[in-house]
Order: sequence, then C-alpha cells, then structure tokens
Amino acid sequence: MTDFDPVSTPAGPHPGSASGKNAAPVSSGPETALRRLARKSEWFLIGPVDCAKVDAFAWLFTASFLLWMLHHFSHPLEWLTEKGFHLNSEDLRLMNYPAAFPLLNEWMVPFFGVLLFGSIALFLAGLRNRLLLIGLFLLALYVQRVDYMASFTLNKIYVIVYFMLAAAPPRSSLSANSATTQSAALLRLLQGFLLVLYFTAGLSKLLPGDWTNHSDVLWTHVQGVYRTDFAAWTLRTMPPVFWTVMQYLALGFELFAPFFFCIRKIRIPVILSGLMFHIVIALLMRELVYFSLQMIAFYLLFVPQSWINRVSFLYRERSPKEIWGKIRRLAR
Amino acid sequence: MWAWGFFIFISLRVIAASVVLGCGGRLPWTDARNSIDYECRLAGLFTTRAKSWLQDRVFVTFRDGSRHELPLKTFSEINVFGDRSRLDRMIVESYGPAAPGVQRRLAQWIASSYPPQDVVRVEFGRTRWMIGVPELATPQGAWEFRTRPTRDPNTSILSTHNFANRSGSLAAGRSGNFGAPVRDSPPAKGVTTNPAQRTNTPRRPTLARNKPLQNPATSQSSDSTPQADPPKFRNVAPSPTLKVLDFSGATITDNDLQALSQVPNLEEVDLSNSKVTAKGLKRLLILRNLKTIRIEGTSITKEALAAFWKQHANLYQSGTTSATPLPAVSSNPALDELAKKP
Repeated sequence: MTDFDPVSTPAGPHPGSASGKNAAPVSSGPETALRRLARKSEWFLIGPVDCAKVDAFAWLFTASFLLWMLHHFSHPLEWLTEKGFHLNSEDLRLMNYPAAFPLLNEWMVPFFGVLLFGSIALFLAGLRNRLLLIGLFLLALYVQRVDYMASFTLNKIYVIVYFMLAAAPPRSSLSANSATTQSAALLRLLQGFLLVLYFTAGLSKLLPGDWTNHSDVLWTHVQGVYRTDFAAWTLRTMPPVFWTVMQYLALGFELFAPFFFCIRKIRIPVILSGLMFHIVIALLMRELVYFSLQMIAFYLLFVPQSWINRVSFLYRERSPKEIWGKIRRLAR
Repeated sequence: MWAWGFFIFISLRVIAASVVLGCGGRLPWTDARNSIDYECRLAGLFTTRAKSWLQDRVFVTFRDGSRHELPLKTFSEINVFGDRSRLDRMIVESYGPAAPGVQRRLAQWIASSYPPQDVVRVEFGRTRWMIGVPELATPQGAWEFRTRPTRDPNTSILSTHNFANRSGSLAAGRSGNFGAPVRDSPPAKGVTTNPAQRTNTPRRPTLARNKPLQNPATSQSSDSTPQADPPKFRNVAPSPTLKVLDFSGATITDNDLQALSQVPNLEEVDLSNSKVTAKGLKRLLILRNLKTIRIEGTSITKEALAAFWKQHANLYQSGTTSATPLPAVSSNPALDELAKKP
C-alpha cells in the first residue's frame, strides 16, 4: 500500500500518533490487523494531504482549458450562435446525443466571452473558492453541450474534473506544518481517473479492438485525417517495423502504465515515457495537442512534492485582495 | 462523511462507469442519452485497424451551370477534427437515420450562404481513400482537402438537393427553416460529369456570415464584371420531373405562381408563411397531379382552400367531389369534410 502513492505527503501526523488534530481516532482496545489495515486505508483514501499537488494540477489543467477555449473562440458566432449550422433536437436524438443547450444570441457572445475567460483568468491568478469552481464546471458543461460537433473526449474530461474539484471536501489550514490541506479523496480520485483512462484505452484496443491481430494498426491511423506534416515525413521515411514497434509500445504503455505508476522506484521513468507518448501524439495528429496538454497536467499529481514546490509561484492560492493588487500593478 | 460520500460517488458512478462504457460494455442502468453516462464514455478511440479514410465532399451547382467542389471548411472555420470541420463531423456522425435530415438542412444552409437564387443544386459526396494508396502511405504533407473525379469508383454521391427558387432570408441555427425550396433526390452512385462540368477547386472564399458567399466562378473573374440580374421565378426551366416545391418563408407572390405551368407534374407545394393569397391559389389549378398544399401563415382561409380543392376535383376527376377522395388539405382532415359540402 505504501508503494501505491508515496508521492503525497500526509500533512498531518500519521494515525497512531495521537498528537495531531488530523489524526485518525485510536481505539482503546487491542488493535487487530484488520482494524489497523482499515485505519491505514482510510488514512490513505481520505486522510488530509497537502493541496499543493492538486493545485498545481488544476492550474495546468485550466491553462489547457484556456487554450482549447481560445481555439474555439476564434470563430464564436459559428460555434455559439445561429450564424453557424447546428444540429436540431431530432438530429441529436437520432444520433444518441443528450439534448443540446440553447444557443446564444449574438449580443450575448461578448458577455459570455468575458464570463468564460474571466473565470479562467481568476482561477489561474490564484482564486480557489468553490463558487468559482462551480462556475468553471457549468461553463465547461455549457461549451460541451451547446455544440456537440465541436466537443470531444477532452471536453468530457473538463466537465468531470471540474465537477470533482467543485464537489471536493473543504480545505483546511489546521495542519501541523501550516500547509493548506484537504481530504486525500480528491487527489486519489484524480490519480485513479488518469490510470483508469489509460487502462480503459488499452483494454478497448485489445477486447473489442484488433491491435494484436495486425502489425500495422498505428500505420493505418497516422495516414488519415489527423495527419500532420511531421506524420507525413515519418510515413515517407520510416520502415514498417518502426510503426509496429510504436504500436506495441503505445499499447503496452496504456495497459501497464497504471501499474507502473504505482511503483515509486520507477515512477519518474514512467512519467518521462508518458510525456514522450503524448508529445509524439501531438506531433503526429493534428489538433490533438490540446488533449496531450490536458493529459500531461495529470502527471503533476504523481511527481515528487519537492518538484511541485519549486513552481509554487505559478499555482499558489491568493486572496482576492492580493489578486486585485497584482492587477493594479500590471495596469500601471 | 463528505470525504467518504464524495469518494464513493465518484468511484462508483463516474470512474467505474468510465471503465465499462469505455470498453464498449453496458451497465443495466446506463442509457446513451443519460447525461452522466454520456460524460463517462471516454476511451475507445482508434481501437481497430483502419481499412480506409473517408473524405466528405460538397458540390455546388450555380445558376450559370458551373459545378464546383468546395471543401466543407469553406462553410465552417472551426477546425476541430484533424483536418476536418464541424460540418465534416456532422456528416460522418449522422450516418444512419439522421443522415437525410441533416444533409437536407445542411444543403439548404449552404445554398443560403450565397446570393438568392445563385445556387440550383447542392450534392454531398464521399470519397473512400483506401489504406496504402500513395496519397496516404507516402504523402507529401499533412492531410488536406483533395479533389478526385466523381466517376472514380471510390467516390459516391450521398444525396442531391435541388433548389428551384430561393428568396427567403437566411435563418440557420436549430430552427431548420431556411426558406429554401428543396427537392431531395435519391442517392446515386458513381455520378459522372462531362468534361465541361468537371469539378474543380475554386479559391476558397472568405467566410463572412454577414455577407453572402459568391459563386466561385464569379468571384474569380474581374470585379468590374456586372452581375447578371437574378432570374425571376417565372423564367424557371421546364421540369416535368419535379414533384415537390417548398416555398415556405419565401417572398413569392401570386404572379410568381404562374410559372408553375413549367412543372406540370408537381404533387406537393408548401406555401407556408409566403405572400400568396386566395387569388394566387387559383393559379395552381393548372397542376392536375397536385395532392398536397400547405398554407400555414398565409392569408388564405380554410374555406378558400376547400373551395380550391373542390374546383380542382371538378376539373380533373370524374364524378362529384363527395364521391372522390380529396387530397390531403394542409394536414387538416376536417377540411376534407368542409370541401365535400355542396
């Protein structure tokens, strides 16, 4: 169990040392092995942890959301208003989509832009209150459902993750080392979410898919509509065996990364492999750079705490007064 | 308590569902249109070997007879799907029961992007690029819009949409009413064009939704070339095969209906929300095969419509109106009874 997630430093004292306010209650009777296991599990799953890792993740995750929204907002009228062609409710029903959210009037678009980018900017500036997170969740949900044809898997991930951030247990500053802490539930669920994403992606290539029946599956996908200039160059220059090796490396990473991420000693090489995996996807497949950036944000949940602390100036929580002062300084 | 509740809900309802749905499985309580389940269907991309890649194509025929192939990106500038636009994705994903409706409305919307009456036909086509052909296996650059003759065996026409007349204002969005009369033809495979009409790739026009697009042939010529007057409906070419005309929302008047003598086999006319009056309705008496008229939003009364049907039946059908089943009248069966009254 200790190998599963040694990266999160418990902010309070460990259960068993009854001196801390965050310590789990200690039973008075003789402690059985089962009870000890239950108590450790509880500590691991929902005990207090430093918020730094989740904050760093949320910052980069929101930065990727900003880029994705900027990409869409280059043509807001086509995307959000009746100026563009949109599917109607009957089309969506036949295509098995949930009902769409209403489109905006043209005059609403600038206000929506201010609301969307203002919320993102406030979050990136360091505001961390629940109201803002609920707002980001609702905005992510709206931009996904107003136009299903402009939203993809990464939109679903924005919706799910902002929901998790908004519904997470409250934070506390009462720990012994005065760091802001929160129940580990959010951290564990976000970590688990990434591992499940990888594993499911790999499993679907095995079970309904045919990645082990052919040696050229990746080669066939790179040729299609996602093909970039770099992919074209690679297709022209690399021998078939290159694509076979890449195919099995990708499949192996998706299937086994969830287990490798749980082993502390090899975690850094696994993270580097994952970075390479997503960089190659972004280079070979057009418009998937946003998805790669979103996935890379999850890696911050697994890196050592000391790495996170070095860039705390980026993501650290700030009060509204502090943010306002910063804005005024920038305005001057 | 909050921490445990949060942990259990997310684990069971979101993450567990993601695993099952992502692998193509189903859960007893899942529903494709359920909001939470929709969010949880995450993985399952690129799962099988691709045998071919599809390229959706749109051909626009203009009033002057020129036929141009235009990338769908001409009409949609958000690039969201590799090198594809939102509209490409609509055509790809609406495969199945949604396809006819989506393609019909999209054709109307594309026609509405040009000056009124400029577009006479919109066709959707699809080219299948087989894996391993040189264009795919050893490409010179990124995937891009590429023309291929429509007589190529790997190219098919998905649907054809003819526009007899269009003078309604552009109204896109989810309403689906563009005021563009349209007739859908059944899909034809391997449609060929003669060399004079061979498709080409005109310069991509600048998409400015506040201004209509220009016929690519016209826009490539000198700017000083005067635009021809838009054709009047009364100049419409004879079309004995035309069966359905949709004038809903169009600004046609009673006089325009005189031109319907050119389409004698018309069976259905939609006059909804047009300026046609009861007087103009009489001009439809020349259409002996007429079966359905729609008049919602016009000044034509139900009594006038019933009188029209009675006169129509007297002209073209033997016997009395009461002995002859009348055609459908504005989707209102009660009007049939009204027409039967002496």
